Amino acid sequence: MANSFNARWSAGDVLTAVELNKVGLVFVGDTTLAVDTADISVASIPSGYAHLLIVASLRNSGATNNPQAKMRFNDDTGANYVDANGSTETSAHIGYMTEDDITPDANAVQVVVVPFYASTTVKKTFLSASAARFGITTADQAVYSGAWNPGSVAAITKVTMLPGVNSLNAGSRLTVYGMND
Amino acid sequence: MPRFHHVYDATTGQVSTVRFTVEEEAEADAREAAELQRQQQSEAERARRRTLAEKFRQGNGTEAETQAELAKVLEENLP
Repeated sequence: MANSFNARWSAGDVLTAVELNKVGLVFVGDTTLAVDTADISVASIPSGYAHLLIVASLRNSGATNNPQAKMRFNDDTGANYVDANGSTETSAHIGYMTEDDITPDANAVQVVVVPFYASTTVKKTFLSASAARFGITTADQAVYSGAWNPGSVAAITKVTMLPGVNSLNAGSRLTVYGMND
Repeated sequence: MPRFHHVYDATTGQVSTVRFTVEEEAEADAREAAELQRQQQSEAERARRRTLAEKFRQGNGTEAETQAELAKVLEENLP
């Protein structure tokens, strides 16, 4: 049976650990930078969920205009990330982040969904909804899509967020959830 | 200035800070250079389109410019 989760509980039911671990979204990891750092990761992601939900709040440490937000899986630095236009890069472009020279309370957020992240037979494709404020009147809101095309298929066990240039500012945050079917 | 990874381990709950290897530093330098070049090209293209848009708005654009720009838009939006 693909799904052992009982969605119709009755009064007096006592949940088992297996059932509790199958409830909706399960927290996997959350971390926030205390100082400016090159990248931020959640590692040792278990393979027992159906899909991954990744939430990031990113800010660039430099004043470069419109800095890109990038993502990698499993420390793969090869040219294995394909964007919607078919171009190949060494990290996935998932949106933009706020630069350091604007108001400190502005930030950017990315919400990434990776269906079937633990498959060992299918390569991974993902969607990223990104909203970033660059300045007082400039912003970017868009949905980005991409694929991870490594030499051999692997379950995703590590997610890394990184900037195109400079570092990530202190306060940048990454949270990962597992989604159950 | 050396770069560092910030890694949260979902199994242990521990955070580690790991210095980049020489290879990682080289890759990060190359990525930054490519990103800066892309941004410069993007800024130049934006400026070119702004100028062209203003010419069209004022009715000063030539038919050849219009056709070339339309062809470019069509090509960029190929399925």
